[in-house]
Amino acid sequence: MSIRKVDGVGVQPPSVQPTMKPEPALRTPHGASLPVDSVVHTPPRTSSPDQKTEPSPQHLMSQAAREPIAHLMDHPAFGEPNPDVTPARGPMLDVAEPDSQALQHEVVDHLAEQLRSLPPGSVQRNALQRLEQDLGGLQYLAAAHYR
Amino acid sequence: MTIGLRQPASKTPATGKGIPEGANKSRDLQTDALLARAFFEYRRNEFKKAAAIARYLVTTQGHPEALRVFSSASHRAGDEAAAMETYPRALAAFPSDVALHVGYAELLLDRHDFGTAVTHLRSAIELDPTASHPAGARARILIVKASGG
Repeated sequence: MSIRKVDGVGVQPPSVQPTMKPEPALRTPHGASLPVDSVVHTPPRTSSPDQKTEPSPQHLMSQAAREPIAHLMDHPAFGEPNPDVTPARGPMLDVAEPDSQALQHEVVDHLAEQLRSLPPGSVQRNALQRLEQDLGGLQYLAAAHYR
Repeated sequence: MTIGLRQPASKTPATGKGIPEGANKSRDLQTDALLARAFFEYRRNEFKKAAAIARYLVTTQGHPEALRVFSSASHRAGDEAAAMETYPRALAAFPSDVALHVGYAELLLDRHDFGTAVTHLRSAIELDPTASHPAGARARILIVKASGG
């Protein structure tokens, strides 16, 4: 399998432009919308260097392997999910980083091993079983999911 | 500008006695990878997946950053019970997180707890006086609604 790497950044779907879309500010996740008149308009945000591209899962994973994770959570989009992003089902990535792919498979293998070895009824095992159930299988975490 | 710098009081506790150092390192690597994955799922609006992964990290490690993801993702996924339980805990770990304040306020507004919602919205506005964070801008809109405007 050949793996092409382009600066460690995943292919950016052209429709994903979180900073250019109207803010989802008029509606709570499950609440009623507000009248437009009540909106306090704010100037459009300008792009900053960390907003130019969406990080690919491989990029995030490789970052996680190298650096503290906290900075990832500081991304401006966190807490403000992009309403225009649809779950990626298609060929989202033709760019991959071999080390991060290995990492993801390593994580899945490790979790599967834990699931086999942890004592029944333990908190860890129950949590793993819940995770497996919620994800529809631990293989969801493998890199192949993104292809 | 970074708003709501998240500096939890303590790092994840150690696994326990008798665990080889390599095992801890491996677990940390796994934790970071899973947290990154939860973040990625959140970013692409797969809130149930994000919440599931974050829930695992919270349950097994009490991971503070995972708690933050879990509260917000469970809220977006419609699991209000989990969100109501975890938002206060996440805010205790990250009291200057604007998005958390606003997210919790939104949940409280949906439950008609206007007084507490306004408190958190005011906190968000104070933390983000220039509305440079999207959540800060949202707080200014929601506080009008919460105040009956």
